[in-house]
Amino acid sequence: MNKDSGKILVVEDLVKYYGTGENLVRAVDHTDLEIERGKFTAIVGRSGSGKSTLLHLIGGLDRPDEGKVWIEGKDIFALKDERLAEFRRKKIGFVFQDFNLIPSLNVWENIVLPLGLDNRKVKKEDVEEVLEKIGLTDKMKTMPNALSGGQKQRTAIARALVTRPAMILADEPTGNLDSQTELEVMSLLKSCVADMGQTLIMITHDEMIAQMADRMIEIEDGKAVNC
Amino acid sequence: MDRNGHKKIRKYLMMYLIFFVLFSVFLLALGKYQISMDRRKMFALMNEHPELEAEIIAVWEKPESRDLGDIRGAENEKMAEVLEEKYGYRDESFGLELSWRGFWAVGILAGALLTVAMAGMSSKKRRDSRENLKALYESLEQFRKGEFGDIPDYAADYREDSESWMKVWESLRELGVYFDDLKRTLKEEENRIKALITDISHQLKTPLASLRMSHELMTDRNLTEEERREFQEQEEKEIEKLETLLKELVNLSRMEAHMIQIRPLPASLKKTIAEAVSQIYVKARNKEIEIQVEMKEDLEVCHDVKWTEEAFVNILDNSVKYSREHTTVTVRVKRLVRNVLIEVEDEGIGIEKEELSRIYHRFYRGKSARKMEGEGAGVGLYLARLILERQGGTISAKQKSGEGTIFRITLPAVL
Repeated sequence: MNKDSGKILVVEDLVKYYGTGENLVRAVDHTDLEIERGKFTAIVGRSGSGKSTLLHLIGGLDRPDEGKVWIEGKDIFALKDERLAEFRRKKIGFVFQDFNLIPSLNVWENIVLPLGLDNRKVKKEDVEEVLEKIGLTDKMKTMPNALSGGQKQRTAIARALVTRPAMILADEPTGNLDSQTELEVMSLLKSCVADMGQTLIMITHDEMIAQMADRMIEIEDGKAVNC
Repeated sequence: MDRNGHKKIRKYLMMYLIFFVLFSVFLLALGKYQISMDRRKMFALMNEHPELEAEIIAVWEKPESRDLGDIRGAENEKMAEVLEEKYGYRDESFGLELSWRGFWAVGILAGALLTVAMAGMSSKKRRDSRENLKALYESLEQFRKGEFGDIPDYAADYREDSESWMKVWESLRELGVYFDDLKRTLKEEENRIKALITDISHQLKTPLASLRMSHELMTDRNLTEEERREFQEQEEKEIEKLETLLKELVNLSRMEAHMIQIRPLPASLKKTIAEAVSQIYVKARNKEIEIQVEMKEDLEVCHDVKWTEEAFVNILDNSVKYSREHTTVTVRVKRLVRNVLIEVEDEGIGIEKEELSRIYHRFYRGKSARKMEGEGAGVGLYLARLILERQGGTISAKQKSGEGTIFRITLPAVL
């Protein structure tokens, strides 16, 4: 059940439709995709083109109607739900547009949350290293509602990085930020990912952000077009 | 069956024998206990009613001789009811009619079946283990042949040891992925160097050809003095271009081959920018382009002074080259939280939206760029990006709404 494990991600003939009859939405329509390890790929496309659905499928957050996704040579949808969740937590870090921080937990607690889910030991030095890299050392006891947008997103990035996943999936991570904060967050994300040799796949509609990527993929009507 | 097999059979026979003896002894002891309990009850009754001694003994010794039929029947049930109501006794001992011998036989049989099942399971487990070991060995053999990508999935069933096998399998798979990655990186590096050599020789051919042409024309004897001087000037220009190109290519190939170490150290950013501007100053003045630097305070930023300057020069050179005369190029520096933002804004020809992501490709030149200026190999921005990214920085460009382009560069303020 292996599919070229040199590629970190292989997507084959992926299909996901929503609705029926006239309301049928072909969110992902027979898409093929290959992504190399350690590269930064930007996914661009108009809103409603199926970018987010594709990212959710790649991340195993949703199951496709047809088709397969291999991560490091592993067919992820052949896994049972529990195993898939475990695999996802180990291999993939997620960053979303609206940060998804837990309001009742402080920065440190939000960051170590995914470690706790797998009963992994929280190594203080590792977390501190990530905090230092992302510039949040002095904010680690702060609650999310006292953070600026940029700080919130940096917390979310630290949370995605702390498990040292092989792949980071980001859905418009700078969509809610002003252009300077956007640059700040992007350069942090990019350099962290480069330091750890991780693969970054990011949805963006921002022309300037997409340029920073090693590769750009455009999604049109549920299909991937290489740029 | 080999000797090993016989040994195993002997082992299980021994186990069964021990079970047999233990079970029999257990039943014997149980029987003895039962009898002694009965005796105790008998003695107690006889003490209470010495006058009924004979009857008690008779009931105990020969219960069959009594008329048990009616006791078992309706009367027995009634008595059971009385017992339950009065004293809370409940008759739950059904099927205890089995004789000791029957019970013993069932126990012995169950023991035999259990032993056989255990033997079977253990041999299956051993067989599974053997198969796993064989697959492991085959995978390692594959590794030696240089094929890392094809580790079979561990057929997961949740028997004992399954978890540890799974872990071994996962580690093996991860090792395979790691090796495969290493192999791929090496291959990629090789291909990159090959492509670089092809690109460089291609880049050198054109200016060299035009240089040769000028040179050949100059050797023509029928030239007037003026024509000769013209060709000489042309030749000089070509040599200059070639020199610039060569310098660029040397930098580029050194950078690509990792012969240049970028060493970011804390240094004044203002100084680096000033140095870069001064390098481009003459070129700008020739086109009467003004270079403005807006920087409130000097910032100590971790950067490799020499190469960051080179990157800035390349970006500024690009802006000056593709701007018309009497325009302005503005450099703005802003402190972000963890980064420094450097904006380079010009009023030049701009970059088409479709070309934005391609301008950093090696030897890429935009459509309008090719029309506007003859020189330039399409190395500058590529090199600038390489230098900046090696220090954890970024570069991106945006078409201005009016005319011109904004380059946004970030560098980490501290490392």
